[in-house]
Amino acid sequence: MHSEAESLLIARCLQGDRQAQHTLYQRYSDAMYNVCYRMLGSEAEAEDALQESFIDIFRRLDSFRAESSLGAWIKRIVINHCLNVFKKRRIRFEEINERAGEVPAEEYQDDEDTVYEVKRVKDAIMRLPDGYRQVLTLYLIEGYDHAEIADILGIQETGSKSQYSRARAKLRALLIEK
Amino acid sequence: MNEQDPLEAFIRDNRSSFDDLKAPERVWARIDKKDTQRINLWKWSAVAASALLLVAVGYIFGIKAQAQPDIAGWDEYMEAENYYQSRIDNKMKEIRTLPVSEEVMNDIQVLDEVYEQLRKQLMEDPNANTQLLLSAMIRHQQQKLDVMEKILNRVDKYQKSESNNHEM
Repeated sequence: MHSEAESLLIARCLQGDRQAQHTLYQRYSDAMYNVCYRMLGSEAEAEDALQESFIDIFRRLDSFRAESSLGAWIKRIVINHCLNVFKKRRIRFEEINERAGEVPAEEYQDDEDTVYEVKRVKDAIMRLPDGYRQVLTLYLIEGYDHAEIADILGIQETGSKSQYSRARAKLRALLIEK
Repeated sequence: MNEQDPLEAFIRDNRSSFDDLKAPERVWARIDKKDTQRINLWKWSAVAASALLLVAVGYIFGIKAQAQPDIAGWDEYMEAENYYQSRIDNKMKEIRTLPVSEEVMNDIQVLDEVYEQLRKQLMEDPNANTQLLLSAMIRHQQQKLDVMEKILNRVDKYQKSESNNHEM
């Protein structure tokens, strides 16, 4: 699944070649930093998570198998790392999630002529409660399907689907309010 | 799932615009300092395991002597607290290496005092709303972490503009 150049790069990383590790890091760091930010919602925590994830990635590189692409393998490690960070600070969220329980009663419908802007949508996504934001971004931005999300989050597939549709309704509501 | 949903379609069509952040430069520098070799991992895990054993033994024997407040959610709080404190300690080490003014350090000191007050209130006031205080304390720690992060960013930028000025 991966190219010869990539296999070579991986082999060099495994030998502890710092130059090769830097190349690999640069190839994925920006994208993974964005993943961390979307998962955690704070730049400071995203930065720490990125650092810890890559240290972990280099240490575990020998367990990488060509069944998945390197990018997908790296992304899963990063996401799992973010979820661990999340578990550690769960109290803070119990309180916030209570407030987030107020789901809009009706599903807002898009007007025919709704015009979205990336910045507004992005800001609204970052204002979603953490549980909503994670499912929504895993599905729409990171490109996982509900079975995969269920696996990542350790929930049922139906749970992922219903959480996602609530998240989408909330996002719509946030985009409508001014 | 409705495939025609305009909001979903919009996000998918603009997928690449959502990756607009750049990983801060300093992250690689920190990774570069760490040992990422697997070969050493066994050796270190043995060292870590024996250290952990020592700590665990100390903890088990020490636990009875330690006064632990009888507050719901205390264990979870301590877990979060330890997590943030170690992050804060790391950032503090970094800030100390920078030429920041006394004033900045004093401001950080003030934050510490606020935190101590929250903690004192929790310990001493039997009528305190413990859940509220616990989450306020955790939020405080996170904000502190953010402030420290901002200081580091600011100094970074300042140093860069300084060195640019010298070149001119």
